[in-house]
Amino acid sequence: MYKAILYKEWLKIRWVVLGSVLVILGFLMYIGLNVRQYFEMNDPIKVWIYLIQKKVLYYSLLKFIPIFTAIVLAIVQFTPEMAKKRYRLTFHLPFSETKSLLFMSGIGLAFILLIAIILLVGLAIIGSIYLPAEVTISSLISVLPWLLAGFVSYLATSAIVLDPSWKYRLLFVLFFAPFIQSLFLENGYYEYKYSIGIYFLISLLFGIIILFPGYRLRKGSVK
Amino acid sequence: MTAKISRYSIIILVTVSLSILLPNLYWMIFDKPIRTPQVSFSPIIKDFVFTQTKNNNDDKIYLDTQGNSYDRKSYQALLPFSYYYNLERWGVLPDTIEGIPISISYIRRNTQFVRLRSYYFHTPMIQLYPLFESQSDFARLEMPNEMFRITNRIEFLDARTNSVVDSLSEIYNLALVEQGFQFPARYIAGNPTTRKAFDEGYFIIDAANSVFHLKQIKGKPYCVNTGIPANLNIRYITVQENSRREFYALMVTRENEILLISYDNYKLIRLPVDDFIADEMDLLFTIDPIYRTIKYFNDQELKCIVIDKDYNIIDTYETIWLPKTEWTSSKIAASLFPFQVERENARTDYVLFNLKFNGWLALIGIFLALGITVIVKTVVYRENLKENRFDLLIVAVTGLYGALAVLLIRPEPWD
Repeated sequence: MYKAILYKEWLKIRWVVLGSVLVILGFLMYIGLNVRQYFEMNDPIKVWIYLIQKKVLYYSLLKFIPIFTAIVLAIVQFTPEMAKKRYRLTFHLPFSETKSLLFMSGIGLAFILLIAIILLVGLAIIGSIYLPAEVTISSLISVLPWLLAGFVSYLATSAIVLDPSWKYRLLFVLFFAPFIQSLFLENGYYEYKYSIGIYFLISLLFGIIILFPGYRLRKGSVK
Repeated sequence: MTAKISRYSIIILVTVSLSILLPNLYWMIFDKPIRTPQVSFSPIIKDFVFTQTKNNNDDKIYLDTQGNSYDRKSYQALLPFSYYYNLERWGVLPDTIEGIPISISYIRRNTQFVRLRSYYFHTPMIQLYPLFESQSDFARLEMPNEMFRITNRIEFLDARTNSVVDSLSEIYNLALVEQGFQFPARYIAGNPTTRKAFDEGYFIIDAANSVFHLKQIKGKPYCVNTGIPANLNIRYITVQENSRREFYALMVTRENEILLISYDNYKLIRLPVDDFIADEMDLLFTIDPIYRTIKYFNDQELKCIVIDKDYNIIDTYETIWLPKTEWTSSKIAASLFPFQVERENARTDYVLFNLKFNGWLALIGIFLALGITVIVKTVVYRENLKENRFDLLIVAVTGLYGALAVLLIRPEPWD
């Protein structure tokens, strides 16, 4: 059964997977060229000091890539299930709805993990060429809230798409947004040093929120 | 069962979001700026003069501690060391004050400011710095090609090749070791900019809490153990590089002491400040041709201490005003919201997730929220209160936030 679901999910998301991998590679290449140009056009030490003292995040172009990819993925993965309430067919399978929903989410999360890894590896490569290890490490740590926002917004969007009523969809958008926005408040490197742990722990709650809309879908709730 | 747990995790998330969103919206509407009074010591009347803002508008009145009031021009005339450009323009800049001949250039040469803000102590900073040539043949400071780090040895990194320059690292490593430096460095303080009058290099605290002074003179290392006691618990150093050359740097200790490192063989001078709290207050240390003024304040009190050249106290002034927590709008907020999530704060550069509780007043809001929840659930929704008992527990803990969450995200008829 898992294999069959995996195949079904793959059919839905394969173009998004390909597209997002290309987009992220494109952005990374752009940032790499951009950093290279900085170093060609300016005194390299001044670029270093600028990045360290002014705390400019040269990779801030990547800020919304994880969340954007995550939202597109969740929409592509769950909207076909909602057309004519097709997903309700799953309820006739000898497979619990909890298991199937969590497995579907798991596939999406695995894909976002892939995007996160590509992003981190790309930044590490760019940093290792032009920047001291301290700055490279700061870049890898400082993107973590953005990556967390990717995972969280994937889970939130899935729940929003799966819910059968527009009223709940609207409420979910409104009520999940302030928390997700909290992950984009940085002005420089390392600023989530003392809070990323708490944000991560709260984010774990997003892991199971899809089950409630799934239940409402099965029960045909419209409230 | 899983669906029920899922609903509660949604409700907790909604509560978290609301405790960010609602207080933010509330203060967007009701917040007002806190106008810290300007307090200065006048060398003319030898008294403090200060401003007051009337009725929250921009009309300022100018007073001294004897109750005399001044207009704007005569107020500025009392403070020649702050407003000398205006006084010169009006032709009223005194020729001498306390027997000292005064001119604009004299004032400028003998003036110095040091500012401390509480967020300086709460900001991430990568400890990599350039070492300047401090006695170059050329007038302007020049940016070197390397930056140094001090881990288990000192290393110079060439920015052009992004690699360690071993020859330079060896020389400086030896200089540090000879002075008894214990690796790694705990803290490095200096100004990595060429836009300063001259270069004094870096003050570095080693693993044994000794303070070292490192700079480059004619291409060679200059490194001294300053002999500053290791038990001071220094948390912050700001190197000054001011042409007055009275002190190299100002330090703040964990005990909120403020110490100057003087040019006289690194002798320490303690500033006479009491109950200064570095984490909560901003401080301005002003030196003019005659007096030194230390002013420190938070959002409810200000202290101003005037000292002479030998750092003896001449006069002090204190003023307090209504703190924000005592505002009516704060009291209303406290009764509406049992707590709020503080994510950003003017006293730190870090992003936070602090739950700030609002005290007993919150009980008003909690009882109100419980009442509304029970009424809506029984009368409007016609739910059986016993079925989803956790809903009421959540409202009892989170008040308005929880009430909105459980009333909007309604329970289903569970399996």
